Amino acid sequence: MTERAIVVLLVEDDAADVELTREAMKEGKLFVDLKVVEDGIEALQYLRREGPYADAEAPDLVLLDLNLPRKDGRAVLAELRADEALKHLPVVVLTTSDSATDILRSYKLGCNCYITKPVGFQQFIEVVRTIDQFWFTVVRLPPRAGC
Amino acid sequence: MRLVDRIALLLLPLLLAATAAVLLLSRGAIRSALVAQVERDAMAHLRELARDVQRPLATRDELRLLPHLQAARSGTEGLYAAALDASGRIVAHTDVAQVGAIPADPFARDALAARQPVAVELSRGGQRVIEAAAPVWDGAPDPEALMFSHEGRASRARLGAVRLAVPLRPALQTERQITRQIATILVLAGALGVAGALLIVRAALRPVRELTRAATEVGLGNYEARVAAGAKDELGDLAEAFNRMAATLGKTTVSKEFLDAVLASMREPLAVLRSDGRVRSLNRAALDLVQGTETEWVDRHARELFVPDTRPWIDAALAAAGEGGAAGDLEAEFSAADGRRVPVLLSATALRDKTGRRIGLILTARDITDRKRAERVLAEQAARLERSNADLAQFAYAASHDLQEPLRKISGFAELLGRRYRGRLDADADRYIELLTSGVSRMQALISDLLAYSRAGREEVPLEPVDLGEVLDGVLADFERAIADSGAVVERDPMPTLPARGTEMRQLFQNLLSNAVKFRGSEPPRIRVSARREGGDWLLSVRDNGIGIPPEHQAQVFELFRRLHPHARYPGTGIGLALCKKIVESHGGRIWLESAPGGGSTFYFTLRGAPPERRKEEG
Repeated sequence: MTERAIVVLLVEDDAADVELTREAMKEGKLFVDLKVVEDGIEALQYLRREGPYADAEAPDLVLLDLNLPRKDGRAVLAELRADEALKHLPVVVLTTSDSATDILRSYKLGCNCYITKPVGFQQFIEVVRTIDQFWFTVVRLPPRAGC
Repeated sequence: MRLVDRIALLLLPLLLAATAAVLLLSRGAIRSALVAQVERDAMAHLRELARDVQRPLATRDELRLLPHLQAARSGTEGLYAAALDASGRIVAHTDVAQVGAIPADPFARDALAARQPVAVELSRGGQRVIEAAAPVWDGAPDPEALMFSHEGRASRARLGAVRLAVPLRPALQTERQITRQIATILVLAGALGVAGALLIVRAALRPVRELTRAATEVGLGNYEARVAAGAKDELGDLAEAFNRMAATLGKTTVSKEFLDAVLASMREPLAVLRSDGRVRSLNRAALDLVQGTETEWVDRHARELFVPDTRPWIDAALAAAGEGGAAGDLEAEFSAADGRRVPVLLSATALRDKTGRRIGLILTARDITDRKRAERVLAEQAARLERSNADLAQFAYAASHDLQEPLRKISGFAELLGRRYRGRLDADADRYIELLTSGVSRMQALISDLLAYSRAGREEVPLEPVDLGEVLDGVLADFERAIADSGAVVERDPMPTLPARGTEMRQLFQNLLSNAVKFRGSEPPRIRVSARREGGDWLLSVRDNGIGIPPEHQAQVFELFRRLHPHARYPGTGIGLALCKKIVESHGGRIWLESAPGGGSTFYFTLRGAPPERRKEEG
């Protein structure tokens, strides 16, 4: 895994958040190839390599926001888990919501973990580092789709 | 006719008859006594005369006879006195003109023939007189001896006779006088007797009148009427018996008038129904409610009193009551004649006679229009309040949540700016970044406190037993650093376990303890957390030795965003104590404080204790 950059798909409609995530990864000195899509439909197209994403690189991890235009994160999660080809993909819900309902619902829909976006940038760096540490060092991931 | 009159009427003729009889009898007796007296007197004089005239009569010496005759006449106040010879001729007479005549009055023969002195009462010239005569014998020495010796007398020669007439007028006058006196006395006595009797009767009848009055009152239904206990006589016994009867009646019987008055005066509508549910009578309140008359309603079925949609209820209630049960507190609606619906609280019970036999049903109702209206207003208010509360909570939550979103970015990029460009720009830029960052953290604190505030006291989160000791341990652990830095000493009582929302209890203690540390004076803080049972509740307090709160600000500190100090000296959002208040009140408690500037503050709050079954588990 180390010879190749880890591919992470960030599903996020907020450009500032995308920027912050990117910067946090940079500050955290993470070696991550960050792909970004802006809504749920694009996310599914990307993962299924449909339309413009026919040649897209399959991700190792999905960072999924819940509140998205067109198709929201919950629906995306539900479809991923219903899709035989994608149900194994690790999904980390990264959202501003800290409501118990959202948390429970997301786990029921099959997310692998649920993280509330921290307020401070320093903390955000910590979170991103932790994600990297846990998912790409500690955990053994399933073989990359399409490989 | 009154008893008194009757007694008077009975008594009067009796009295009159008695008076008449007494008068008659006494008059006869008096008359005969007086006449006898006159007669005796006349005879006594006559006997003396007969003795005295023996010799002059024998010699027919008129002049010597006359003084004797006159003495006898004046002695007896007689009419006349006369002496006669044996042939009946008058020898001497007090009326000299009569001398020589032979009297031919009816008594003349008897007077001459009598061997003994005789007297007779007769009428002479219209007046009653006693005519008396006595024989005069020749040489009779002793008239006493003569009376007892007829032999002797027979052998002697009759010289003639003396006669004397005495008028009865004085005696009769005396008799009349006496009789008059007796009559007067009798009449007076009779009148007194009658008057006395009437007075006595009237007095005796007073208890009777009293009884009459009481009996009349009882007749009118006032069983409280009593007769004053009289003397220990027959009437007293009667009064006592009457009182006993009235008391018994009062206990056992209630008059129809009394019942009618009670029903008519009742504020609650009442209907008496037959066993089949038809109306027998309605009281005034019921008639007022349905705006009808009794005649209109009698014999109609009771269900018609009510609006159609509550009629099935009524039928069920009547059936239940009819089967001997009772139906209570049913809500129904009367249908008034003007189309109004009058909400009532209805009860139905079986009406039974003395023997327990069911003879009908009783419906009572209570007009609950006002209560219903109040309930509706209250419900509307409650709904409005709930809506506005929910709106407010929703608003606060959404606002603080949505505010956090852009803030996160501001803070993110401000920090990023700081990390990347601190020292590379000029000193002003560095200070701006600093101020930006601190402004952002303050805003974040505000928002997160506001979020906590908007979430607190949500009653849909159930109360569960919370060990306040554990909560306090957790809070103190969080404050370990602050406590160590300030050199604070915290004392604590054993804390109870009580029904509460754990997170809110934590927020409560967090805020109170952080205030106690934050608002410290020059001395290191001394904080005491106490808990004391008060009835079913707990009184808890957090006391510090800090700067205190001036009295004029004490009421304000629980208001939202109320701060008493500049941010630079005592940072804070002004939400902490408002949150505490909301938490305590949503747990059914109260929160207040006692404080003096420089003398520290004590925050008190109450929380409800565990219900009894929980308490047992505690013990």
